[in-house]
Amino acid sequence: MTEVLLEIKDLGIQFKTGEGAIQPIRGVNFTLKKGETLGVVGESGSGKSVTSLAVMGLLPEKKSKIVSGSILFNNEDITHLNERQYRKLRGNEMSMIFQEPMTSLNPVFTIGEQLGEPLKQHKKMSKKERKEAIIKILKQVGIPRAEQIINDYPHQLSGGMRQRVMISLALLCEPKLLICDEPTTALDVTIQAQILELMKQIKAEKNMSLLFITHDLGVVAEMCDRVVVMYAGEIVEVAEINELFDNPLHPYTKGLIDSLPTNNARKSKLYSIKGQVPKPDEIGKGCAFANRCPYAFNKCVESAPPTFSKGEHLSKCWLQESDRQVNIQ
Amino acid sequence: METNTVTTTNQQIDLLVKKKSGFKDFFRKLSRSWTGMLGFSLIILLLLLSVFGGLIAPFDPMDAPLRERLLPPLTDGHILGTDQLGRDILSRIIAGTKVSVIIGLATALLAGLIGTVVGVIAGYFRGWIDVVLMRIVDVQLSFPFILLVLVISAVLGAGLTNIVISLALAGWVVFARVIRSEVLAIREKEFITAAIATGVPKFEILFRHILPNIFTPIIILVSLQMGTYIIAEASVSFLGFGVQPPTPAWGNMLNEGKDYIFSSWWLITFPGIAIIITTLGVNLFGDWLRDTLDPELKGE
Repeated sequence: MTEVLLEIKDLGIQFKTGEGAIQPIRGVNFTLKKGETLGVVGESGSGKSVTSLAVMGLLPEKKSKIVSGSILFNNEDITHLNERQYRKLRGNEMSMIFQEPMTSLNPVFTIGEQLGEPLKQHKKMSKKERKEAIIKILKQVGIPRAEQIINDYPHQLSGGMRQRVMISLALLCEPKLLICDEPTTALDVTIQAQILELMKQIKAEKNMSLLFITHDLGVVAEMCDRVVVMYAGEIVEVAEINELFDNPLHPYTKGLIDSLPTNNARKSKLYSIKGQVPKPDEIGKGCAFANRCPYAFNKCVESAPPTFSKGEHLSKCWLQESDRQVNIQ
Repeated sequence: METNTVTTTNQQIDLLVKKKSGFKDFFRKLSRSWTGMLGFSLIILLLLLSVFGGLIAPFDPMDAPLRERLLPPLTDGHILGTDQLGRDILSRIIAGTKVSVIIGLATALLAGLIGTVVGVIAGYFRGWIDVVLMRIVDVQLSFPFILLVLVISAVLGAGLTNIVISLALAGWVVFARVIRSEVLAIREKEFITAAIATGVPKFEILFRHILPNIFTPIIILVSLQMGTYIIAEASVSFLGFGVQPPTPAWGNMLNEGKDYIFSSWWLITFPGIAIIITTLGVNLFGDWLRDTLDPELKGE
């Protein structure tokens, strides 16, 4: 078995709001192996981003709290690190690519100045070495005229170029873990394909682990080795990529897959899962998905399902209880 | 042939991309806006007058030959006439430039400094310190500006330094408010999160990432507030609390001239015009700065 880089155990995160505490993340478990790409999918509000921010230690300090569980990075619990210790990890061992390339770069600095930042923080390099490293990485992510681009301001670049710059920023110190929070959502489709291709290629070259957060199952199919499906702050299904698409065990996953447009169904209406993700304070004692689930029965409303495993394929649904084993295909 | 043209265009592109030197770029942009140019010229004129005024002034601004009192403009070489003590009005206006420029600049810088420090602390650290500072600002903003200046200068006493201090103490709140809201907006931006995610420490975030982003509003506010302070100084001097006679300042020239407003209009008109022109110049320049310094518009 390959080594585990990141392990999240029973993670619970609480947010303080005006009306009291809510808990958007309730008992999340998953592992990320070295060199693996793990997709995290789910609707808006399912807790994907909060989980990734927790890994980076970027949750708003005063308003949020990790109430249970641990995040093991290289077998070391990082939930209790102080600011200084965390700073050594960020940008160096782990880095993150954000959703909005248009706003993720500081408008008053040139590209070169911004890319110099992580090197200044983490590596002892002379100015000249830094410049060389920056130009090298920019060329790697496919930016033409890198020598000139480093003197440009972010607003002079297009969205695709900026996202390439963001990727190079994340890669500068050759992190072991790269978290991508919907890195292609804000880009148009042709650029999206280029960026995904680029990330795949770089990942293979540097042997990094990728945590890929998205709501786009098409992107997941393209990029990931394994997938974690999140719903309302918990993980409802974990499976290897082909297994997930061929044999989804949770009705929610099935709903997501059915919602994908297919080539030959142009005239029919797209399938959608009715209803909305419940807010954290609306979740009762039963399964969080019960009110939207077409297969729901009494037990689903009465108590929350535990995790059932079928080999490596995990799911949290009463349908998978050993004596039932309903096939939802 | 073909390749030749391609290389020239490439070179041209390179030339365009190359950074222009600061000064040239400044004037190139300034020359495109006549209002900015006018404002800038007026400011330069004021600065020159305040430094070299003594050399240009046709008469000694303090010399009071009573026989020549209340001469109308364009008599006996007094281009703008003389006042109730026979002093040349043009020379006194020129001499008063120094007071206005010093007060405008010094006050704007001092108020800007206090306001920026307070605004940044409140906006960046939030929490109780934000609440306390902003309530102080609220309370102070509920007092009329001039009243506050009068109260503070009544406590401190008259004089140039004291008037600067009292204007700044009354005026910093405007800066604090604006800067705080700017900091609030910027600290939530994704590039700040991105900077934290690359391992930049907190204080560096504040100084390297947030401060440069609020530099533009600071400069603009400083230039716009300068006009306000010049007028405020004139008002305070007019009311007798500011610069004391016989030191020539536009405000106390108005004050002294008001008794003669019906018989000798020039005593009050020309200092008034000087105030208007100065404020106009500073405001025009400030407006132009605001339009130009926006980094999104840079290089367009």
